[in-house]
Amino acid sequence: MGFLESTAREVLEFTTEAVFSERYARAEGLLQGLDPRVKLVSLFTLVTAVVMLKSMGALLVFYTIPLALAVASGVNPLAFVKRVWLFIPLFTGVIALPSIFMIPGKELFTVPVLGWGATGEGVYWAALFTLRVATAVSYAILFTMTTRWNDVVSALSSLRVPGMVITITTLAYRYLFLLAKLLLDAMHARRARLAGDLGMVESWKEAGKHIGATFIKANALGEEVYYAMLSRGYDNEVVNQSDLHFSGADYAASAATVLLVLLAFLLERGLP
Amino acid sequence: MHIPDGYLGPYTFGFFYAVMIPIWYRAFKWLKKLRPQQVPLLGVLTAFAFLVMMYNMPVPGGTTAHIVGGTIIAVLIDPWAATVALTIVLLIQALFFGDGGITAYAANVFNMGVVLPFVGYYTYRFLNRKLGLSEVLSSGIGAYVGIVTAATVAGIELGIQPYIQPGYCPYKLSVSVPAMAIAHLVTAGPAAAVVTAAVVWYVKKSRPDLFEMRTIMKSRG
Repeated sequence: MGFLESTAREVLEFTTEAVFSERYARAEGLLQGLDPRVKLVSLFTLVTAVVMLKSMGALLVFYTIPLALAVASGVNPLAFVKRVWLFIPLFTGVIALPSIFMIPGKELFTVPVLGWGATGEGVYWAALFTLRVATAVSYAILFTMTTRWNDVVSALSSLRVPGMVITITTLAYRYLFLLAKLLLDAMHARRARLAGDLGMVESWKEAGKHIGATFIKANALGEEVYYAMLSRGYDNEVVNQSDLHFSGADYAASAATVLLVLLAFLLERGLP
Repeated sequence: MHIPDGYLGPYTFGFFYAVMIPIWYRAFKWLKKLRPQQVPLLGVLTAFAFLVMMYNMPVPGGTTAHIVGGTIIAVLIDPWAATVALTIVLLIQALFFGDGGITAYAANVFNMGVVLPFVGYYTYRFLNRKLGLSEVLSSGIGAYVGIVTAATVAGIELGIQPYIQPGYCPYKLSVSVPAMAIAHLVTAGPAAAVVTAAVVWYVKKSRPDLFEMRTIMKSRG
């Protein structure tokens, strides 16, 4: 497949995906109702705890938590699981698979022709590694599906991320979609005038021209955005208008996070 | 090159958060020196950096690779602009697209937002200013050296796991470094070189004034 098609597909998937994830984030549900600061800090804490887990049992417990939370937040659990596992085999599988044969231990079976022996220890390790990655990814994807972009920015802003960084982040996210559309139009226009397929190096050069043209457009846009902002009273910093406040549910969620970290610690040490 | 969660142990990802704090502070200092109209521009250019990563380049072996675009921004604007843009791009990717881990975020920013643009930029500058090579050629070689160095650094981060904290990335340096370096030497590296050179050639040809923007960005007001 030519780079024009695969890039155009990527851009389309990205834009629909982003819209799709806001669909869940706008719905009513357990996680949607929480303060984004609580969610952001809990996400970081829980993923760190998950990455530190070393036993299969503890990982299984922590894997079921985001599943339960997904159901409570109105996220289709099947769609959620699919999204998590869709890209795990691509990357983690490739890394984990050879270790089945490389880790020494009791031999389970031998691959015909190649003569590689898979060990029980190797299989256990590969399963543990894959499950740990899947669990960490589950928390991140659940956060993505149940949190709106604007809320994340408000959370970052109230967590003392400098105002200028927030301004750039806000603008970047907003103009991402416009630039993506411009890019898609340019790709379709180019494709329509192309007879046959481009060679590999030729396609790299073509991509270079597209990126160059996008850079020039981005520059023009940057200037226009500045004047548009200036005329609306921009004073070097974007004022964040959302007002976040803690509710009872947020205190409960924070306490739950602390308890889960404690649980992770207990499961690792062995329950008394 | 995006390292997911679960590949780096706590010592390693903790270390990279500690390393990135002074670098982020320095990048923020750079930001503060920008003139007001340059801030929205940097916002739009961050969106541009995000889009650059979406280009699927066919590479030898029948798959596709992405380029990072760090050298493009470093050459066209400033390496610190690339650090700021990639810090934000990688945050959006980690939080909204599950691309790159949350615990590995600082390590990913270090590889793609610091090592890549700075190595790429200084290689470009050395070739262009000291050896007198053209801007187009220097930027292409710079992008190549930048992406291969960043991939090698990522390979080292992954490869030291079995030595310091077993249970994470299972492969030792003798496997992880060649795997990352060779993949980028023969696939993403050449693509990044040609694309970056083509971008610089195109921008220089159609909007030579934008090339002067580097001096505009540097003239602090």
